[in-house]
Amino acid sequence: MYIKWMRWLLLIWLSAVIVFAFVQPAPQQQIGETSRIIYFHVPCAWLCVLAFFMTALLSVRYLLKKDMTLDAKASLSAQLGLLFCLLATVSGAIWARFAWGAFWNWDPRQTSIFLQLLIYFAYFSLRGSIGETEKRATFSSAYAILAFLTVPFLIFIVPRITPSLHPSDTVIGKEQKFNMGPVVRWIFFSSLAGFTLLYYYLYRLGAKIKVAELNRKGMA
Amino acid sequence: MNHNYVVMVVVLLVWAALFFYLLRLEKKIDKLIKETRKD
Amino acid sequence: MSWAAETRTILKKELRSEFRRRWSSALLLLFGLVTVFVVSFSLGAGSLTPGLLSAFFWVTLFFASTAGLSRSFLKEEETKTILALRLLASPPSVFWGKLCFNLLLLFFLELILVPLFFVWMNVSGINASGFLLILLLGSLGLVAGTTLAAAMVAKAESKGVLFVILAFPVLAPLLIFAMAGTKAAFAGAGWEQLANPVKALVSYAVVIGAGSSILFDFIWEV
Repeated sequence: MYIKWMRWLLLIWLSAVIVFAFVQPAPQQQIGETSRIIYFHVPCAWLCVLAFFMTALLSVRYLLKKDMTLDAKASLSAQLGLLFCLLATVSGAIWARFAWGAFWNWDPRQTSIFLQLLIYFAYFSLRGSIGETEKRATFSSAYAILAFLTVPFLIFIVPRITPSLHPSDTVIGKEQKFNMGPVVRWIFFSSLAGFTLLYYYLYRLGAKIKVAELNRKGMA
Repeated sequence: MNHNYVVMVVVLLVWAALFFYLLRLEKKIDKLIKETRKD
Repeated sequence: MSWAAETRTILKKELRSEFRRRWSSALLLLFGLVTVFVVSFSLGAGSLTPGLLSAFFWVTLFFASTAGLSRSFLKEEETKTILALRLLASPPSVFWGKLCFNLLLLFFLELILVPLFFVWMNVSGINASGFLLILLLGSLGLVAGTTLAAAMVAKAESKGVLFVILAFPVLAPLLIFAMAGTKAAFAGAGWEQLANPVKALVSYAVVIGAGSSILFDFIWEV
């Protein structure tokens, strides 16, 4: 099974990322050492969106095939997404405190991650209000897809609209480019890749549990 | 530079702990699945 | 019956039943008026910046919508007409019929609310046509984003709360765009400044409306 050796790769890969993240000079000099958090914060946010994309994709497949394992996997991906969304929000707020002076500014990206949190909250509230039936699977799939349709608006369009409401103080924005030197770039993208592998590993693990649960209940 | 290494070691330890916890969890699940399959 | 004729029939049915027993319009109006009143009263004779005015306006519309639009499907559940509807009409007709009805409800609310808001809040010196366009597009977005949630909530337990929980994240981008556009309109801005919010509102209404309509077919059949 190909997953068997992947886990060791994952261990070594992320360990290497951690080492390089602290040994190499800090990514941005104005902010100083706390800018290292970028190697953790951005991958968490990326994973949050990736996980939600997977939830939406699995939801589409569920609506077409009505296979309950697909719905279980969609819910699993949402759980992972929620975890990383929380990590991204908290790490972002901590970084904001050091870089911009306040924990929360309603910067476009902070707004997007907060709304993503609300989307997850809504998804699980919906699931919680219906019993474990085909109806729950159908309704939550529909909602996941609808909510996912709003994500491109949040990520791409909101940052171009809200400058008229707030000053844009996002570091990785169109006005102020976060210039990454070659070394920083390497560590950054390695971290992204490593975290993606982590998501895949967690997803496979969780899927095993979910499928086994479904089999035990006789619903697969 | 010194705090960096301390934080780094802490983070590495947390990551290792998390990883080996997940490893144990997976082994337990595989065992459970095999046992329920036998019946 | 053709698709358009079916939709029109559903719309007529909605209007008629709303006329007989005011399921949604009363709630809509009540929430809207109370919100405007509270805000205006607490301000006294003062006036607000375009940004704050815009925010209050859309907060009012949003609260009124969550109170009034969540009930679109509730009446079917309570009067047990849902089976008849399922048998006699195709899902798209039901969806678009209800959506058009919700839109008319919203227009009715705005007809009363907007003049009141302008008078009570001392609004002046605005780009009127720009504001109306934003209002129209924003209303379209509001009904596009809430109809699916209303359908899902009709059979659930804690309908009111669940509806807001579901509707708010989906409506958030719409509110952001509408508030930005209205703020610009209230500040008397020209069309160049309104172009971005308008484009965003149109694409939101199209994407969410089309998506909701497709997803509704799956919800309705369950």
